[in-house]
Amino acid sequence: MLRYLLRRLPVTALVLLLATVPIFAVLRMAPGDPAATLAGPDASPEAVAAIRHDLGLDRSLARQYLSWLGGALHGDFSTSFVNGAEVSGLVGRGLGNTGTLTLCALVLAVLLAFPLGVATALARTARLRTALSALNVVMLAVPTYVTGVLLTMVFSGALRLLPPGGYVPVLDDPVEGAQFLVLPSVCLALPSAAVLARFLAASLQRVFHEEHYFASRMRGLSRRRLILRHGLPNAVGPLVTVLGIQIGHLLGGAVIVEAIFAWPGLGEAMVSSANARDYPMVQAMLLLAVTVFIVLQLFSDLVYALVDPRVREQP
Amino acid sequence: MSAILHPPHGPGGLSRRALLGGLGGLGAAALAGCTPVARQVGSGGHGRQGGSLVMAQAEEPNLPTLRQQNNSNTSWSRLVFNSLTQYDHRTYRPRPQLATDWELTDGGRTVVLRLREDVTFHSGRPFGPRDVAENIAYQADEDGAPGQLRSAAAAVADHSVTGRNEITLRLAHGITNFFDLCEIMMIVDHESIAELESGEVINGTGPFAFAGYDPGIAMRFTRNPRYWLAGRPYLDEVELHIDSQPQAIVASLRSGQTDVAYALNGLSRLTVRDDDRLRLIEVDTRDAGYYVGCNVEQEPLGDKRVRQAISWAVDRQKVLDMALQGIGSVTSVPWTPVSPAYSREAAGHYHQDLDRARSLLAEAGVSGARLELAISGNEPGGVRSIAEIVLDGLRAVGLDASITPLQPAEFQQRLGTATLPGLWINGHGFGQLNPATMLNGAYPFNAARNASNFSDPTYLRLAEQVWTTSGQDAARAAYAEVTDFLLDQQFVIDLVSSSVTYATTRALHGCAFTMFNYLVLDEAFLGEG
Amino acid sequence: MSEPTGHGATPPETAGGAAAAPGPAGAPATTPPREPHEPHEPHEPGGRHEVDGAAERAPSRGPLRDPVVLGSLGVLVFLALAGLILPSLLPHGPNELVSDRALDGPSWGHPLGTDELGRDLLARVLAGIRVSLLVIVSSVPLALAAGGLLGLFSSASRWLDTPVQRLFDVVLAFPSLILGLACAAVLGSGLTSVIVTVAVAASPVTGRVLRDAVRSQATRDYVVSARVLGVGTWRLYLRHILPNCFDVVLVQAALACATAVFVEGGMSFLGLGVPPPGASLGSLLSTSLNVLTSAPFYAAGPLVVISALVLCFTLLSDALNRTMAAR
Repeated sequence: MLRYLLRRLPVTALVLLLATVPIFAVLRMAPGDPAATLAGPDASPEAVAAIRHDLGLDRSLARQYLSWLGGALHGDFSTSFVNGAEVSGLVGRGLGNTGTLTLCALVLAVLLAFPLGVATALARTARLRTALSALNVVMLAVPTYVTGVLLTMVFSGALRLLPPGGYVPVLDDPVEGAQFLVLPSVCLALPSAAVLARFLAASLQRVFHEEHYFASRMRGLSRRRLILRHGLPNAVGPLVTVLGIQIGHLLGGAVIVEAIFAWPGLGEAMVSSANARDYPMVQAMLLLAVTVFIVLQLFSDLVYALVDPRVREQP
Repeated sequence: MSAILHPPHGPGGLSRRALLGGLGGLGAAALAGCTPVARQVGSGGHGRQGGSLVMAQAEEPNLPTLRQQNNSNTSWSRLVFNSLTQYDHRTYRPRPQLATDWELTDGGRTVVLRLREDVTFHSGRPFGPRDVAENIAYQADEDGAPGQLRSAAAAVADHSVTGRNEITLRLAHGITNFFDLCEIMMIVDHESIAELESGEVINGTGPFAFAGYDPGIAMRFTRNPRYWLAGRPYLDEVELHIDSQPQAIVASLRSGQTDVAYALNGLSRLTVRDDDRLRLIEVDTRDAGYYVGCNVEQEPLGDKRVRQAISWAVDRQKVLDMALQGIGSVTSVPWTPVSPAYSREAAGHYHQDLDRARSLLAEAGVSGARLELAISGNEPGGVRSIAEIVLDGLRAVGLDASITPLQPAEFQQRLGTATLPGLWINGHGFGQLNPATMLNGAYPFNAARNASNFSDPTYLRLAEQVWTTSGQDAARAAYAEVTDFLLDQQFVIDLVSSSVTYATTRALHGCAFTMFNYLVLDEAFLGEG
Repeated sequence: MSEPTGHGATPPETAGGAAAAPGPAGAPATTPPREPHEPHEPHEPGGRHEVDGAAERAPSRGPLRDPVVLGSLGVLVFLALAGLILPSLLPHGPNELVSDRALDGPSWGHPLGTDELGRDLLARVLAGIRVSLLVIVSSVPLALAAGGLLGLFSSASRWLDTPVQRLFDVVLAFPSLILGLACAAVLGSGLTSVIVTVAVAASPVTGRVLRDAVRSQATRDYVVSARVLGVGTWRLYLRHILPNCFDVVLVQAALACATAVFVEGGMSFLGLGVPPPGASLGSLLSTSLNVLTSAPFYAAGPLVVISALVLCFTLLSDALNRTMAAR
């Protein structure tokens, strides 16, 4: 196992290194000058040039790239062009907020998926099955920006129960913070809950066909006990693998949910720094995204290698 | 393979149950524990004294451009600093602040300023004449991002301290905008001017002392117990939150997290107006001018008849009513009503007249020309709405125009290098300043180099004339001449002079503004909504 | 084959093999579960459906008998016709500033009300449908062609398989709206970016599914016997294998349509879609969010239409998948 990991590591590092090139280049290919934005509308060309110099943008691209890469290797991501704060701090804050939102959504998704999945697996009548699958399709297919607008209309417009957007740190004030979290997490959780419910139902039904389950049933165990003791624990396994992928998609879906509910997370930071051509910020965030993806990929390959010895043995 | 991934039986179920219970409890506590955030009203209820105020704005404060009248510093500068004088909004006469009394002699070339005696900086050092002299020198300095009143400050040739609290300034020539300088110039502790722009030391005489700045998050201010206005300010502390999403600011206003929001525009204003717990305050200086710029190097915009036709084609009233929520007044000139160059007749020169526009286009031999209209960003409302109304007018007179939303960084860059694709919509300030400042400093109008690539010897001569003319009548004549020239050339097509707005909760009382939009919280307190 | 594993986590080495092997948990491969198949992508409706009905295929009654297929098709055709025909019957164009009353509630003259500039919201919603249709028509064939070709190469050559699958992995790893942000930063915002984004986001799914379908066909007796008889590779693909994969492509096309509507809406919502004054369902929604308290009616039209479009395309592909798997 360790040998497999050791074999994969250099390739992974190489891919990450190669990825830094497009990460560095993508915004620089796009038109727009961060110095001009910073200097303001009435700045003279000399003032813009001075700012370009201060930001180090007058150096050659290769030198800029190397100094960024060198800094990044030491964990130094430089400072934001826009407000001069440490990029690592800003990204960390965004990551914390997006992480909070994603985590809440994930927990909610799992909480919703269990009853839905079990109900779908156990549904006997055709009508109930149709209703449940219709609910599932709706949860899955209706885009987050639609559910977001709907939720805002109902819960903050009509009922005035929850704020339409914004943010209070949950750690500062758990009661207020939680109220700001509810709508965005529900909005983000619904599609994932639908996916998880489908998987849960599918694997539950498969478990029902298995011999030991059949045997337990023959032994006369109660239905409830059967599901809790034998059905669910056996069905949860495959669900865990899906959960990993869902985390990735929740993070992605956060872009639009953050825009709807004005949640100051990574998605929002991404959009505003891209707008201002804040190169250090965008580079750090892209690097983070690619690293997360590559690590997830490596992780899932490792899991497969663990499961399937043939993969391990392949040259 | 699924078998390997199975979690161990018993404990898994147990912990899940515990997790479920815990979360349920948390959720219930959050929802039942108190009044929902969505129904909170601004804080208040106690007496005037005390309380902390939360402000919010979308733009990051920008210390290196503190000398410029940038939107990013407008909301907080007057909390930390004072100016020498402050205009009365109605009479447009200067009133005492740090200067209690002044005398202008020798045709405005000698100014004696008597200063308030009991003033100390937040650091504890007493304020004196030396601070005035050094601050004028700082305003006149060309390094870094110079202020719009650099020219006025540079006109102060010499000074002498003529008393413990008196300074006499000698000007190279009389300037009409001397009190603009006294109004705009924030008096900074002269010993720490060098550390100001880096944010290391921010030391003033204002009602609140600077208490910290987390870039991207917030700036904090605490009450100055030694403020020269006895018993003021009422508030204990002020926090300025930076939130790049206007929508989030509106939401926090509505949920009582924020008491004052600066520079809301477009559709957010509608939401504020519709909420009876909030109040929308227009700053009455009308210094936010919106215009259509023309890049005269892009055909057919090189022909002034085409530019005039565009000016006739636009429905300014609709821009005012629908895109700017009726805040401001329609205009054809860059000057605001308080400017000495303003004339009602000139301001009303252009209005929508499609036939006139069509005949001008026919005269110029232009039909069905393609035009691009660039805007910065693509947010609903605001500039996008203005562009849509302008486009409607252009299409009505047979111009084949389309809107190109550019990302802000690209728009700014192309504006700065005068390479925008034809027409664009943008805003400009300074309409309330001396016309000379605008013609020599403001980029859309700068006679030497502007975003429109418009260069014309007559314009250069007129700009020079406005700058150097002395005497009221001669100045008026010069202003009229340049106004006529601008109306004729229309490389900048002014549409509306609008205002910056502050949105506040009804619980906030006693907040005021200077003529240059600075928020004044000397008398502010949080009371009953 | 019924093992619900996501593609993002499926190493290419095992993806093909798993499709033919019986379920590891002991479920007989001949009785596929009845539930919908492999809905991985939460935010792109059904963005990564897997078709596992490719195994048992025999001509039988058409999917048009299925009430879900009929219903969704009906709604879609109705919306498409409304978008194409109704605008010419309306007194106002979508971009005409017709009313002096901005954000005016529904009335006889303006059944859905007016927007912030006094334009007719019904006309704008219909224009939004047109934009969605335009994106579907231009991006879905692109996605199918690009994904299909890559999938074919991948199935035909062992050498190409791994890099192509890795490429698909990479693209699938990025949520479509992040792809959209990147596209808009480089290409500028507008419909071109939207179309490119949809094509890029939807092609890996098609490619994968087609690759698996072709592979499963390639092991069938008729193909093996055709090879033995000396039928050329080209002829084999064109005359035998591909026609048998048609169903799979059809299901993917329906899904790609849903993705197209979703991505167009999302990018317009973020201000990266159709430039103003053009109306799109997403930009209408994002504007409505700003005036939700003062003009709640603003959101109604775009909400209903965009949900109906995405739902119907998703249901259609689900149902097609089901009926074809049942054959």
